[in-house]
Amino acid sequence: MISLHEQRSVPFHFRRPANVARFGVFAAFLALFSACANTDPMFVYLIRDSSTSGREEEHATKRSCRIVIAAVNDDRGNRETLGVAAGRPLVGHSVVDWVARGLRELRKAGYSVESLSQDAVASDNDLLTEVSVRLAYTRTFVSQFEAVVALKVKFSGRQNLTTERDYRGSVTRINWVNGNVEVANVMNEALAEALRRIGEDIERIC
Amino acid sequence: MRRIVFYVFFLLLVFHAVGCSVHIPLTAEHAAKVGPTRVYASISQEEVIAAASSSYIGLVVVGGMWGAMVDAAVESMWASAANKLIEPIRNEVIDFDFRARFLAALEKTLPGIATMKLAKLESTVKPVNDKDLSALRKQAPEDAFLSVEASYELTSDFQALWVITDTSLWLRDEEEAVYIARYHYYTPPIAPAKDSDAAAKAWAADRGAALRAALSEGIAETMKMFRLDLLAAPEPVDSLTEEPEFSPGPIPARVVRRAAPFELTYLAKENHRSIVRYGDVLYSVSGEDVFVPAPAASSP
Repeated sequence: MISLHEQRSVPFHFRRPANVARFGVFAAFLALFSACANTDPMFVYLIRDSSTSGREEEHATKRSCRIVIAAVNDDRGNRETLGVAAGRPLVGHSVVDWVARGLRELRKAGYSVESLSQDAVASDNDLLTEVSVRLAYTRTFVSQFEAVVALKVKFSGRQNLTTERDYRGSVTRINWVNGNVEVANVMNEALAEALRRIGEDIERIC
Repeated sequence: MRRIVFYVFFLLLVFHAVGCSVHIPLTAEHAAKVGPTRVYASISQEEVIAAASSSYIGLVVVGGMWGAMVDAAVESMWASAANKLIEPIRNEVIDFDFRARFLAALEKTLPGIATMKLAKLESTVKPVNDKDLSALRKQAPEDAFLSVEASYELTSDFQALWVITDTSLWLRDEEEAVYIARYHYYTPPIAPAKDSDAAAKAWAADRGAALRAALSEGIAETMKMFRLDLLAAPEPVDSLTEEPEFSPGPIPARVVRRAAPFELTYLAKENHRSIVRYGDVLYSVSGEDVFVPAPAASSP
Protein backbone atom coordinates (compact mmCIF):
# COMPACT_ATOMS: atom_id res chain seq x y z
CA MET A 1 0.00 0.00 0.00
CA ILE A 2 1.34 3.39 -1.01
CA SER A 3 1.73 5.97 1.77
CA LEU A 4 0.53 9.54 1.54
CA HIS A 5 4.11 10.72 1.52
CA GLU A 6 4.92 8.43 -1.40
CA GLN A 7 1.83 9.60 -3.26
CA ARG A 8 2.94 13.21 -2.92
CA SER A 9 6.42 12.43 -4.09
CA VAL A 10 5.22 11.06 -7.47
CA PRO A 11 6.80 13.52 -9.93
CA PHE A 12 4.63 15.49 -12.35
CA HIS A 13 5.22 14.11 -15.81
CA PHE A 14 3.70 15.36 -19.02
CA ARG A 15 3.51 11.87 -20.50
CA ARG A 16 0.78 10.95 -18.03
CA PRO A 17 -2.64 11.46 -19.70
CA ALA A 18 -4.14 12.64 -16.41
CA ASN A 19 -1.53 15.37 -16.10
CA VAL A 20 -2.07 16.45 -19.69
CA ALA A 21 -5.82 16.62 -18.99
CA ARG A 22 -5.22 18.65 -15.81
CA PHE A 23 -2.94 21.03 -17.63
CA GLY A 24 -5.45 21.35 -20.46
CA VAL A 25 -8.28 22.22 -18.11
CA PHE A 26 -6.04 24.69 -16.25
CA ALA A 27 -4.98 26.33 -19.53
CA ALA A 28 -8.60 26.52 -20.70
CA PHE A 29 -9.64 28.21 -17.43
CA LEU A 30 -6.70 30.57 -17.62
CA ALA A 31 -7.53 31.50 -21.20
CA LEU A 32 -11.21 31.90 -20.33
CA PHE A 33 -10.62 34.17 -17.37
CA SER A 34 -7.83 36.18 -18.95
CA ALA A 35 -10.13 36.78 -21.92
CA CYS A 36 -12.90 37.86 -19.54
CA ALA A 37 -10.60 40.20 -17.66
CA ASN A 38 -9.26 41.99 -20.71
CA THR A 39 -11.85 44.43 -21.98
CA ASP A 40 -9.58 46.64 -24.06
CA PRO A 41 -10.61 47.15 -27.68
CA MET A 42 -9.16 44.59 -30.08
CA PHE A 43 -7.91 45.88 -33.41
CA VAL A 44 -8.89 43.74 -36.35
CA TYR A 45 -6.90 43.96 -39.60
CA LEU A 46 -9.59 43.12 -42.10
CA ILE A 47 -7.50 43.62 -45.21
CA ARG A 48 -4.84 41.10 -45.91
CA ASP A 49 -2.39 41.16 -48.78
CA SER A 50 -4.37 40.11 -51.81
CA SER A 51 -3.62 36.54 -52.77
CA THR A 52 -5.23 36.98 -56.18
CA SER A 53 -2.75 35.65 -58.62
CA GLY A 54 -2.72 36.29 -62.31
CA ARG A 55 -2.72 32.55 -62.82
CA GLU A 56 -6.14 32.13 -61.19
CA GLU A 57 -7.58 34.87 -63.39
CA GLU A 58 -6.04 33.28 -66.46
CA HIS A 59 -7.72 29.95 -65.68
CA ALA A 60 -11.13 31.55 -65.05
CA THR A 61 -13.57 31.65 -67.95
CA LYS A 62 -13.55 35.12 -69.48
CA ARG A 63 -16.99 36.76 -69.26
CA SER A 64 -18.35 39.46 -71.51
CA CYS A 65 -19.87 41.36 -68.60
CA ARG A 66 -17.79 44.14 -67.07
CA ILE A 67 -18.59 45.02 -63.48
CA VAL A 68 -18.11 48.68 -62.69
CA ILE A 69 -18.09 49.49 -58.97
CA ALA A 70 -19.85 52.84 -58.85
CA ALA A 71 -19.66 53.21 -55.06
CA VAL A 72 -19.20 51.37 -51.81
CA ASN A 73 -20.86 53.24 -48.97
CA ASP A 74 -20.57 52.60 -45.26
CA ASP A 75 -24.22 52.76 -44.13
CA ARG A 76 -23.81 50.79 -40.91
CA GLY A 77 -25.82 52.01 -37.95
CA ASN A 78 -22.77 51.32 -35.80
CA ARG A 79 -19.57 52.50 -37.46
CA GLU A 80 -17.68 52.55 -34.18
CA THR A 81 -17.10 48.82 -33.74
CA LEU A 82 -16.99 45.57 -35.66
CA GLY A 83 -18.82 43.80 -32.86
CA VAL A 84 -17.72 42.37 -29.55
CA ALA A 85 -15.56 39.33 -28.80
CA ALA A 86 -15.59 38.03 -25.22
CA GLY A 87 -16.39 41.48 -23.84
CA ARG A 88 -13.80 43.24 -26.00
CA PRO A 89 -15.07 45.74 -28.57
CA LEU A 90 -13.64 45.01 -32.01
CA VAL A 91 -12.31 47.99 -33.85
CA GLY A 92 -10.91 48.29 -37.33
CA HIS A 93 -10.83 50.69 -40.18
CA SER A 94 -11.47 50.78 -43.90
CA VAL A 95 -14.61 48.64 -44.03
CA VAL A 96 -15.32 50.30 -47.39
CA ASP A 97 -11.89 49.33 -48.77
CA TRP A 98 -12.30 45.83 -47.40
CA VAL A 99 -15.63 45.32 -49.19
CA ALA A 100 -14.33 46.99 -52.39
CA ARG A 101 -11.35 44.64 -52.40
CA GLY A 102 -13.70 41.75 -51.85
CA LEU A 103 -15.75 42.79 -54.88
CA ARG A 104 -12.62 42.78 -56.99
CA GLU A 105 -12.26 39.10 -56.11
CA LEU A 106 -15.06 38.55 -58.65
CA ARG A 107 -12.22 38.71 -61.18
CA LYS A 108 -11.51 35.14 -60.15
CA ALA A 109 -14.85 34.21 -61.73
CA GLY A 110 -13.71 35.71 -65.02
CA TYR A 111 -15.34 39.13 -64.77
CA SER A 112 -13.56 42.33 -65.50
CA VAL A 113 -14.02 44.47 -62.38
CA GLU A 114 -13.28 48.18 -62.47
CA SER A 115 -13.92 51.09 -60.17
CA LEU A 116 -15.86 53.96 -61.69
CA SER A 117 -13.29 56.65 -62.15
CA GLN A 118 -12.48 59.36 -64.61
CA ASP A 119 -10.58 56.85 -66.72
CA ALA A 120 -13.26 54.13 -66.69
CA VAL A 121 -16.40 55.28 -68.43
CA ALA A 122 -19.34 52.91 -68.12
CA SER A 123 -20.81 51.59 -71.35
CA ASP A 124 -24.29 50.15 -71.94
CA ASN A 125 -23.00 46.63 -71.46
CA ASP A 126 -21.42 47.35 -68.13
CA LEU A 127 -23.07 46.34 -64.90
CA LEU A 128 -22.94 49.33 -62.59
CA THR A 129 -22.77 48.15 -59.00
CA GLU A 130 -23.45 50.37 -56.00
CA VAL A 131 -22.89 48.70 -52.64
CA SER A 132 -24.19 49.78 -49.26
CA VAL A 133 -22.58 48.08 -46.24
CA ARG A 134 -25.38 47.66 -43.71
CA LEU A 135 -23.78 45.37 -41.16
CA ALA A 136 -20.30 44.01 -40.51
CA TYR A 137 -19.78 42.49 -37.11
CA THR A 138 -18.52 39.54 -35.12
CA ARG A 139 -19.82 38.32 -31.80
CA THR A 140 -18.86 35.48 -29.50
CA PHE A 141 -21.16 33.05 -27.75
CA VAL A 142 -20.35 29.85 -25.87
CA SER A 143 -17.24 28.54 -27.66
CA GLN A 144 -18.10 30.13 -30.99
CA PHE A 145 -17.58 33.18 -33.18
CA GLU A 146 -20.33 34.43 -35.42
CA ALA A 147 -19.48 36.90 -38.17
CA VAL A 148 -22.12 38.67 -40.24
CA VAL A 149 -21.79 40.91 -43.30
CA ALA A 150 -24.96 42.38 -44.79
CA LEU A 151 -24.82 44.33 -48.05
CA LYS A 152 -27.45 46.07 -50.14
CA VAL A 153 -26.46 46.13 -53.79
CA LYS A 154 -27.97 48.22 -56.55
CA PHE A 155 -27.30 46.90 -60.04
CA SER A 156 -27.96 49.15 -63.00
CA GLY A 157 -26.81 49.97 -66.50
CA ARG A 158 -26.77 46.73 -68.41
CA GLN A 159 -29.73 46.68 -70.83
CA ASN A 160 -31.46 49.37 -68.77
CA LEU A 161 -31.68 47.07 -65.79
CA THR A 162 -32.10 48.54 -62.31
CA THR A 163 -32.52 46.26 -59.36
CA GLU A 164 -31.68 46.39 -55.66
CA ARG A 165 -31.02 43.29 -53.58
CA ASP A 166 -29.92 42.37 -50.07
CA TYR A 167 -27.10 39.92 -49.47
CA ARG A 168 -25.90 38.40 -46.25
CA GLY A 169 -22.92 36.30 -45.34
CA SER A 170 -23.07 34.63 -41.95
CA VAL A 171 -20.49 32.22 -40.59
CA THR A 172 -19.97 30.47 -37.25
CA ARG A 173 -16.59 29.07 -36.25
CA ILE A 174 -15.00 27.75 -33.06
CA ASN A 175 -13.31 30.48 -31.04
CA TRP A 176 -9.94 28.93 -30.23
CA VAL A 177 -7.97 31.80 -28.69
CA ASN A 178 -10.19 34.86 -29.21
CA GLY A 179 -7.49 36.44 -31.33
CA ASN A 180 -7.76 39.26 -33.85
CA VAL A 181 -6.49 37.02 -36.68
CA GLU A 182 -9.34 34.61 -35.97
CA VAL A 183 -11.83 37.48 -36.02
CA ALA A 184 -10.41 38.77 -39.31
CA ASN A 185 -10.60 35.27 -40.80
CA VAL A 186 -14.20 34.68 -39.77
CA MET A 187 -15.21 38.13 -41.05
CA ASN A 188 -13.47 37.45 -44.35
CA GLU A 189 -15.38 34.18 -44.60
CA ALA A 190 -18.66 36.03 -43.99
CA LEU A 191 -17.78 38.59 -46.68
CA ALA A 192 -16.83 35.79 -49.06
CA GLU A 193 -20.22 34.16 -48.41
CA ALA A 194 -22.07 37.40 -49.20
CA LEU A 195 -19.92 37.90 -52.33
CA ARG A 196 -20.61 34.33 -53.46
CA ARG A 197 -24.33 35.15 -53.39
CA ILE A 198 -23.71 38.42 -55.27
CA GLY A 199 -21.68 36.45 -57.83
CA GLU A 200 -24.58 34.03 -58.36
CA ASP A 201 -26.91 36.94 -59.14
CA ILE A 202 -24.38 38.63 -61.41
CA GLU A 203 -24.08 35.40 -63.36
CA ARG A 204 -27.85 35.41 -63.86
CA ILE A 205 -27.91 39.09 -64.85
CA CYS A 206 -24.96 38.83 -67.25
CA MET B 1 -10.58 14.51 -11.61
CA ARG B 2 -13.58 14.28 -13.92
CA ARG B 3 -15.88 14.66 -10.96
CA ILE B 4 -14.10 17.83 -9.84
CA VAL B 5 -14.21 19.26 -13.36
CA PHE B 6 -17.88 18.38 -13.57
CA TYR B 7 -18.66 20.15 -10.27
CA VAL B 8 -16.63 23.21 -11.23
CA PHE B 9 -18.48 23.49 -14.52
CA PHE B 10 -21.79 22.84 -12.81
CA LEU B 11 -21.06 25.72 -10.45
CA LEU B 12 -20.07 27.92 -13.39
CA LEU B 13 -23.35 27.00 -15.06
CA VAL B 14 -25.28 27.91 -11.92
CA PHE B 15 -23.42 31.24 -11.60
CA HIS B 16 -24.07 31.89 -15.28
CA ALA B 17 -27.78 31.14 -14.85
CA VAL B 18 -28.11 33.20 -11.70
CA GLY B 19 -25.86 35.94 -13.06
CA CYS B 20 -25.27 39.03 -10.99
CA SER B 21 -28.96 39.63 -10.54
CA VAL B 22 -29.33 41.70 -7.40
CA HIS B 23 -32.15 44.06 -6.63
CA ILE B 24 -31.57 47.14 -4.54
CA PRO B 25 -34.76 49.21 -4.38
CA LEU B 26 -34.56 52.98 -4.41
CA THR B 27 -35.27 54.17 -0.88
CA ALA B 28 -37.12 57.40 -0.14
CA GLU B 29 -33.98 58.77 1.45
CA HIS B 30 -31.89 58.16 -1.67
CA ALA B 31 -34.69 59.24 -4.01
CA ALA B 32 -34.74 62.62 -2.30
CA LYS B 33 -31.04 63.07 -3.11
CA VAL B 34 -31.35 62.29 -6.84
CA GLY B 35 -31.00 65.52 -8.76
CA PRO B 36 -29.73 66.13 -12.29
CA THR B 37 -28.85 62.71 -13.66
CA ARG B 38 -26.44 61.59 -16.37
CA VAL B 39 -27.76 58.50 -18.14
CA TYR B 40 -25.34 56.18 -19.92
CA ALA B 41 -26.92 53.48 -22.09
CA SER B 42 -25.03 50.59 -23.64
CA ILE B 43 -26.47 48.38 -26.38
CA SER B 44 -23.66 46.45 -28.05
CA GLN B 45 -25.89 43.97 -29.85
CA GLU B 46 -26.31 44.45 -33.61
CA GLU B 47 -29.15 42.07 -34.42
CA VAL B 48 -31.53 39.61 -32.85
CA ILE B 49 -29.79 36.43 -31.69
CA ALA B 50 -30.92 33.02 -30.49
CA ALA B 51 -29.97 31.96 -26.97
CA ALA B 52 -27.06 29.55 -27.13
CA SER B 53 -26.78 26.41 -25.08
CA SER B 54 -23.47 25.22 -23.68
CA SER B 55 -22.52 21.59 -24.12
CA TYR B 56 -21.06 19.68 -21.16
CA ILE B 57 -21.38 16.25 -22.75
CA GLY B 58 -17.71 15.99 -23.70
CA LEU B 59 -16.46 17.27 -20.39
CA VAL B 60 -18.54 14.84 -18.37
CA VAL B 61 -18.11 11.80 -20.62
CA VAL B 62 -14.58 12.30 -21.96
CA GLY B 63 -13.05 14.92 -19.67
CA GLY B 64 -10.02 17.18 -20.10
CA MET B 65 -9.04 18.88 -23.32
CA TRP B 66 -10.59 16.21 -25.52
CA GLY B 67 -13.88 16.72 -23.72
CA ALA B 68 -13.64 20.47 -24.24
CA MET B 69 -13.02 19.87 -27.94
CA VAL B 70 -16.01 17.54 -28.17
CA ASP B 71 -18.14 20.25 -26.52
CA ALA B 72 -16.83 22.91 -28.90
CA ALA B 73 -17.73 20.66 -31.83
CA VAL B 74 -21.23 20.02 -30.43
CA GLU B 75 -21.75 23.76 -29.86
CA SER B 76 -20.49 24.45 -33.37
CA MET B 77 -23.13 22.08 -34.76
CA TRP B 78 -25.89 23.75 -32.71
CA ALA B 79 -24.68 27.22 -33.70
CA SER B 80 -24.69 26.28 -37.34
CA ALA B 81 -28.25 24.94 -37.10
CA ALA B 82 -29.45 28.04 -35.21
CA ASN B 83 -27.76 30.25 -37.77
CA LYS B 84 -29.79 28.70 -40.59
CA LEU B 85 -33.00 29.41 -38.70
CA ILE B 86 -32.20 32.97 -37.64
CA GLU B 87 -30.89 34.24 -40.97
CA PRO B 88 -34.32 34.58 -42.67
CA ILE B 89 -35.67 36.34 -39.55
CA ARG B 90 -32.77 38.82 -39.55
CA ASN B 91 -33.24 39.51 -43.26
CA GLU B 92 -36.85 40.50 -42.64
CA VAL B 93 -36.11 42.92 -39.80
CA ILE B 94 -32.79 44.37 -40.96
CA ASP B 95 -34.33 47.86 -41.05
CA PHE B 96 -35.60 47.59 -37.45
CA ASP B 97 -33.02 49.52 -35.42
CA PHE B 98 -33.57 48.26 -31.88
CA ARG B 99 -30.76 50.41 -30.51
CA ALA B 100 -32.17 53.66 -31.95
CA ARG B 101 -35.72 52.82 -30.88
CA PHE B 102 -34.70 51.88 -27.36
CA LEU B 103 -32.66 55.07 -26.91
CA ALA B 104 -35.47 57.21 -28.34
CA ALA B 105 -37.93 55.59 -25.91
CA LEU B 106 -35.52 56.12 -23.03
CA GLU B 107 -35.09 59.78 -23.94
CA LYS B 108 -38.85 60.19 -23.96
CA THR B 109 -39.49 58.20 -20.76
CA LEU B 110 -36.85 59.42 -18.34
CA PRO B 111 -37.94 63.09 -18.19
CA GLY B 112 -41.34 61.83 -17.03
CA ILE B 113 -39.90 60.09 -13.99
CA ALA B 114 -40.31 62.47 -11.09
CA THR B 115 -37.51 60.89 -9.04
CA MET B 116 -34.82 62.13 -11.40
CA LYS B 117 -34.05 65.03 -13.66
CA LEU B 118 -32.50 63.91 -16.92
CA ALA B 119 -29.47 66.09 -17.54
CA LYS B 120 -27.84 64.18 -20.38
CA LEU B 121 -28.34 60.88 -22.16
CA GLU B 122 -25.22 59.32 -23.61
CA SER B 123 -25.00 56.00 -25.39
CA THR B 124 -22.40 53.56 -26.58
CA VAL B 125 -22.26 50.54 -28.86
CA LYS B 126 -19.45 49.08 -26.75
CA PRO B 127 -19.97 46.82 -23.75
CA VAL B 128 -19.39 48.66 -20.49
CA ASN B 129 -17.67 47.01 -17.53
CA ASP B 130 -17.50 48.06 -13.88
CA LYS B 131 -14.16 49.82 -14.41
CA ASP B 132 -15.56 51.92 -17.28
CA LEU B 133 -18.66 52.75 -15.26
CA SER B 134 -16.61 53.83 -12.29
CA ALA B 135 -14.53 56.17 -14.47
CA LEU B 136 -17.58 57.52 -16.28
CA ARG B 137 -19.51 58.35 -13.13
CA LYS B 138 -16.49 60.06 -11.58
CA GLN B 139 -16.13 62.22 -14.70
CA ALA B 140 -19.83 63.12 -14.85
CA PRO B 141 -20.55 66.51 -13.28
CA GLU B 142 -24.14 65.60 -12.34
CA ASP B 143 -25.35 64.49 -8.88
CA ALA B 144 -26.53 61.10 -10.10
CA PHE B 145 -25.46 58.58 -12.73
CA LEU B 146 -27.81 55.97 -14.21
CA SER B 147 -26.37 53.14 -16.28
CA VAL B 148 -28.63 51.14 -18.59
CA GLU B 149 -27.66 48.03 -20.54
CA ALA B 150 -30.13 46.28 -22.82
CA SER B 151 -30.07 43.07 -24.85
CA TYR B 152 -32.65 40.95 -26.67
CA GLU B 153 -32.77 37.38 -27.90
CA LEU B 154 -35.01 34.58 -29.01
CA THR B 155 -35.08 31.51 -26.82
CA SER B 156 -33.00 28.58 -28.08
CA ASP B 157 -36.18 26.86 -29.34
CA PHE B 158 -37.17 30.09 -31.17
CA GLN B 159 -40.52 30.21 -29.37
CA ALA B 160 -40.24 33.39 -27.29
CA LEU B 161 -38.44 36.73 -27.29
CA TRP B 162 -36.70 38.20 -24.26
CA VAL B 163 -35.70 41.82 -23.75
CA ILE B 164 -33.40 42.12 -20.75
CA THR B 165 -32.34 45.42 -19.22
CA ASP B 166 -29.92 45.97 -16.36
CA THR B 167 -29.87 49.31 -14.66
CA SER B 168 -28.00 50.89 -11.74
CA LEU B 169 -28.13 54.32 -10.14
CA TRP B 170 -25.28 55.97 -8.26
CA LEU B 171 -25.26 59.15 -6.21
CA ARG B 172 -22.20 61.36 -6.21
CA ASP B 173 -21.29 60.80 -2.57
CA GLU B 174 -22.11 57.10 -2.45
CA GLU B 175 -19.49 54.50 -3.41
CA GLU B 176 -22.07 51.74 -3.98
CA ALA B 177 -25.09 51.89 -6.28
CA VAL B 178 -28.24 53.04 -4.47
CA TYR B 179 -30.50 51.29 -6.98
CA ILE B 180 -29.89 48.09 -8.95
CA ALA B 181 -32.58 46.40 -11.02
CA ARG B 182 -33.09 43.92 -13.82
CA TYR B 183 -36.13 44.08 -16.08
CA HIS B 184 -37.23 41.10 -18.15
CA TYR B 185 -39.81 41.22 -20.93
CA TYR B 186 -41.00 37.90 -22.37
CA THR B 187 -43.47 37.01 -25.08
CA PRO B 188 -45.68 33.95 -24.94
CA PRO B 189 -44.59 31.21 -27.39
CA ILE B 190 -45.22 32.10 -31.03
CA ALA B 191 -45.94 28.56 -32.19
CA PRO B 192 -46.60 26.39 -29.15
CA ALA B 193 -46.44 22.63 -29.69
CA LYS B 194 -44.56 23.17 -32.93
CA ASP B 195 -40.85 22.81 -33.63
CA SER B 196 -38.23 25.55 -33.87
CA ASP B 197 -38.49 25.58 -37.68
CA ALA B 198 -42.17 26.55 -37.50
CA ALA B 199 -41.48 29.09 -34.75
CA ALA B 200 -38.67 30.72 -36.78
CA LYS B 201 -40.96 30.93 -39.82
CA ALA B 202 -43.69 32.53 -37.71
CA TRP B 203 -41.28 35.26 -36.48
CA ALA B 204 -40.12 35.94 -40.05
CA ALA B 205 -43.56 35.92 -41.70
CA ASP B 206 -45.03 39.10 -43.18
CA ARG B 207 -41.73 41.03 -43.15
CA GLY B 208 -41.04 39.97 -39.58
CA ALA B 209 -44.29 41.52 -38.32
CA ALA B 210 -44.36 39.42 -35.14
CA LEU B 211 -40.77 40.17 -34.22
CA ARG B 212 -41.18 43.89 -34.93
CA ALA B 213 -44.27 43.91 -32.71
CA ALA B 214 -42.55 41.95 -29.93
CA LEU B 215 -39.47 44.19 -29.97
CA SER B 216 -41.63 47.32 -29.93
CA GLU B 217 -43.72 45.93 -27.08
CA GLY B 218 -40.54 44.86 -25.28
CA ILE B 219 -39.19 48.40 -25.43
CA ALA B 220 -42.53 49.88 -24.32
CA GLU B 221 -42.83 47.42 -21.41
CA THR B 222 -39.24 48.10 -20.35
CA MET B 223 -40.01 51.82 -20.23
CA LYS B 224 -43.09 51.04 -18.17
CA MET B 225 -40.88 49.07 -15.77
CA PHE B 226 -38.52 52.05 -15.49
CA ARG B 227 -41.45 54.30 -14.62
CA LEU B 228 -42.83 51.89 -12.02
CA ASP B 229 -39.60 50.84 -10.38
CA LEU B 230 -37.75 54.13 -10.24
CA LEU B 231 -40.18 55.45 -7.70
CA ALA B 232 -39.11 55.80 -4.10
CA ALA B 233 -41.67 53.19 -3.09
CA PRO B 234 -43.35 51.34 -5.98
CA GLU B 235 -46.95 50.69 -5.03
CA PRO B 236 -48.05 47.07 -5.35
CA VAL B 237 -51.43 46.37 -6.89
CA ASP B 238 -52.95 44.24 -4.12
CA SER B 239 -56.01 43.17 -6.05
CA LEU B 240 -53.82 41.26 -8.51
CA THR B 241 -52.06 39.06 -6.01
CA GLU B 242 -54.90 36.58 -5.63
CA GLU B 243 -55.15 35.00 -9.06
CA PRO B 244 -52.02 35.09 -11.10
CA GLU B 245 -52.80 34.24 -14.72
CA PHE B 246 -49.84 33.03 -16.67
CA SER B 247 -49.64 30.70 -19.58
CA PRO B 248 -47.41 27.68 -19.06
CA GLY B 249 -45.38 28.75 -22.11
CA PRO B 250 -42.10 30.58 -21.61
CA ILE B 251 -39.91 29.48 -18.73
CA PRO B 252 -40.18 32.68 -16.66
CA ALA B 253 -43.96 32.62 -16.82
CA ARG B 254 -43.83 29.08 -15.48
CA VAL B 255 -41.45 30.18 -12.73
CA VAL B 256 -43.70 33.06 -11.76
CA ARG B 257 -46.71 30.73 -11.87
CA ARG B 258 -45.06 28.35 -9.42
CA ALA B 259 -44.19 31.14 -7.01
CA ALA B 260 -46.12 31.49 -3.78
CA PRO B 261 -48.40 34.57 -3.77
CA PHE B 262 -46.35 36.26 -1.05
CA GLU B 263 -43.25 36.01 -3.29
CA LEU B 264 -44.88 38.09 -6.03
CA THR B 265 -45.42 41.82 -6.06
CA TYR B 266 -47.70 43.02 -8.82
CA LEU B 267 -46.97 46.54 -9.99
CA ALA B 268 -49.27 46.78 -13.00
CA LYS B 269 -51.68 44.86 -15.17
CA GLU B 270 -53.00 45.83 -18.56
CA ASN B 271 -54.99 43.47 -20.76
CA HIS B 272 -53.16 40.12 -20.57
CA ARG B 273 -49.81 41.51 -19.50
CA SER B 274 -48.62 42.01 -15.93
CA ILE B 275 -45.57 43.61 -14.43
CA VAL B 276 -44.58 41.57 -11.43
CA ARG B 277 -41.55 41.41 -9.18
CA TYR B 278 -40.35 37.93 -8.36
CA GLY B 279 -37.03 37.57 -6.59
CA ASP B 280 -34.56 40.13 -7.85
CA VAL B 281 -36.17 40.60 -11.25
CA LEU B 282 -39.08 42.71 -12.47
CA TYR B 283 -40.92 40.71 -15.11
CA SER B 284 -43.33 41.77 -17.81
CA VAL B 285 -45.13 38.56 -18.66
CA SER B 286 -48.24 37.73 -20.63
CA GLY B 287 -51.14 35.53 -19.66
CA GLU B 288 -51.80 34.54 -23.27
CA ASP B 289 -50.99 31.08 -24.60
CA VAL B 290 -49.76 32.27 -27.98
CA PHE B 291 -48.01 35.46 -28.98
CA VAL B 292 -50.31 37.48 -31.19
CA PRO B 293 -48.77 40.72 -32.43
CA ALA B 294 -50.81 43.85 -31.83
CA PRO B 295 -51.73 45.28 -35.27
CA ALA B 296 -50.50 48.80 -34.49
CA ALA B 297 -47.18 47.62 -33.12
CA SER B 298 -46.38 45.35 -36.05
CA SER B 299 -45.89 48.11 -38.59
CA PRO B 300 -42.24 48.63 -39.62
